[in-house]
Amino acid sequence: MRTRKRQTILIAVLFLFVPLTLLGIFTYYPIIRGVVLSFGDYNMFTKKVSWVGLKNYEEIFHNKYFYEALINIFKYLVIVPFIQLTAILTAILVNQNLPGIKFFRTLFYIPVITGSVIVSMTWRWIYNVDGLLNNLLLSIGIIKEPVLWLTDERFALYSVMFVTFWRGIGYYMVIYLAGLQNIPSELYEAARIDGANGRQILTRITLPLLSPTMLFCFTISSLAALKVFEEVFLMTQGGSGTTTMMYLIYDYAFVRFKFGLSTATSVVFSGILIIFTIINFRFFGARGDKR
Amino acid sequence: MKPKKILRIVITYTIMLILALFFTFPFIWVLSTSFKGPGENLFTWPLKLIPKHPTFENYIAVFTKVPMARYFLNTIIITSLGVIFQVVLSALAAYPLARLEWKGKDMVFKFILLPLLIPMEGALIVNFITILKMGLYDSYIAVVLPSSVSIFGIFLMRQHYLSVPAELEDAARIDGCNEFQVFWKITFPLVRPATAALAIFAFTAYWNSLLWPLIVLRTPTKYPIQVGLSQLSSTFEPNFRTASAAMIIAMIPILTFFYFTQRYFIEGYKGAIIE
Repeated sequence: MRTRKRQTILIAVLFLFVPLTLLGIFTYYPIIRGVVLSFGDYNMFTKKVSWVGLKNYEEIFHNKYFYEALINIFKYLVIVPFIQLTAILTAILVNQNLPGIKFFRTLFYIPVITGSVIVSMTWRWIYNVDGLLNNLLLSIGIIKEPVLWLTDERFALYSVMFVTFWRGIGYYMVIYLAGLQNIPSELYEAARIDGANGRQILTRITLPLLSPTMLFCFTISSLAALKVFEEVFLMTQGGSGTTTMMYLIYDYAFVRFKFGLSTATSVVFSGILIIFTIINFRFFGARGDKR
Repeated sequence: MKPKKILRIVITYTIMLILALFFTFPFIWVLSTSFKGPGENLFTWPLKLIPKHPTFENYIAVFTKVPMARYFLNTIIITSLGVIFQVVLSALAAYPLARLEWKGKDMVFKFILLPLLIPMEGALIVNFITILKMGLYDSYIAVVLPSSVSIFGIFLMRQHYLSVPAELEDAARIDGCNEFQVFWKITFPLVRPATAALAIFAFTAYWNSLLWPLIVLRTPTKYPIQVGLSQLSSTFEPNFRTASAAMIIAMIPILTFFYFTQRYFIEGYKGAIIE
């Protein structure tokens, strides 16, 4: 028995040592170091930090782009219910046993799997002055002259948001599909024997049993919306009023090399995310935990 | 009953076709553009999707003007490294957390999950400095190292380890297996399907990763395909035809991959949602 005990400890140490070390260096350390750096200025060439106290925070709170980014990420949340509703309906649609269904699922997943670069390049062409969208709308007569979808401040953010919506549906569709397939088929059979119609099955069985999945998807989808970066980076470079918090963090650090300002922004942003998560849990957590 | 069912199927397929068009029309346009020669106007209206004189010259141009093969090779190296790290480290770390009895187990597990509650978006900057200090800047290993331990992966593997019946392990112990053999011969083979799901998630994540490789790689010949394409968009912007061909080439492997592995995607999420 002693050897068993010793073997157990040995395995625990051996198996966990490397993962925990790496987590320590690249996940835990940055949390602490990030907060510390936000009170300083890191010089990339001398690799020295000079302490500046609260100056970074003062500076970001006086930057109008900070507020623009803050407003934008909350505007971005608007797409969450649209993504989720479309994804649920699509998942129910492709959860049938029909010939060619696998092919259709693949088609719906193309925007997700191709990656943000290709998607954003393609949509930039669609949004072009002489691109598909303008041509289409001009020919139907909805608009009189081409719209600058990505450079006009009135439209740019919404144009980018639409791409996130379009690209997100397939992603959540697959998660809902997994949720739907987790529902035992006996329930449907029993309901059918009891004479339930299609709508009753949907509202009494499918949707209630899908609610843990919905909670999960709404949560990650809203966090993803708040953290949006790639579409903005690839389509507008944060211009024409489309800056977001993640873009600001990136821009400070890797365009202007102001690491202090960047980490200060990220500390504030992390705080916002934590508050958002807590509120989220207060509202929905109790229900989700039980299941 | 019969005609009603037929009607339902017709409606289903109609909706699916409309959705298919909605999700693929940009790519159809890219595909058509990639076969058009310089003589054809791309933006004519009404749209002409079928090229008048289909040509392969854009595809030839991609391979001669852009180091496409090199990008692919880099992507494969980075993706393989990342997948191996994530799968092996998750499979190892999750085992003692799920199946062994030792002091502090719950605490360690909670500690591992902690970053999910404290998001640190500034990790990017600190990790960049760490990579510089480690002398790993501009190397493949720098691309995968910070994300080599996946908390989601550990969580997923732990779920699957927990579902292995204890009787199997006990029987092996009675038969004289030591603790290593119990892991390697009994428990691990039973969770192998879960490692497949995890590998597939990791594969798509690394294949499509953009920002981090862009930050830690400087030499263009080390770029993976996504970073390469994003650079291409600035140099090739006016040349839609070449860029389209490059995009189509970049899409084919990952689409094929998804077509054959979508079952695992769904299975993987099933495992993750239960909790």
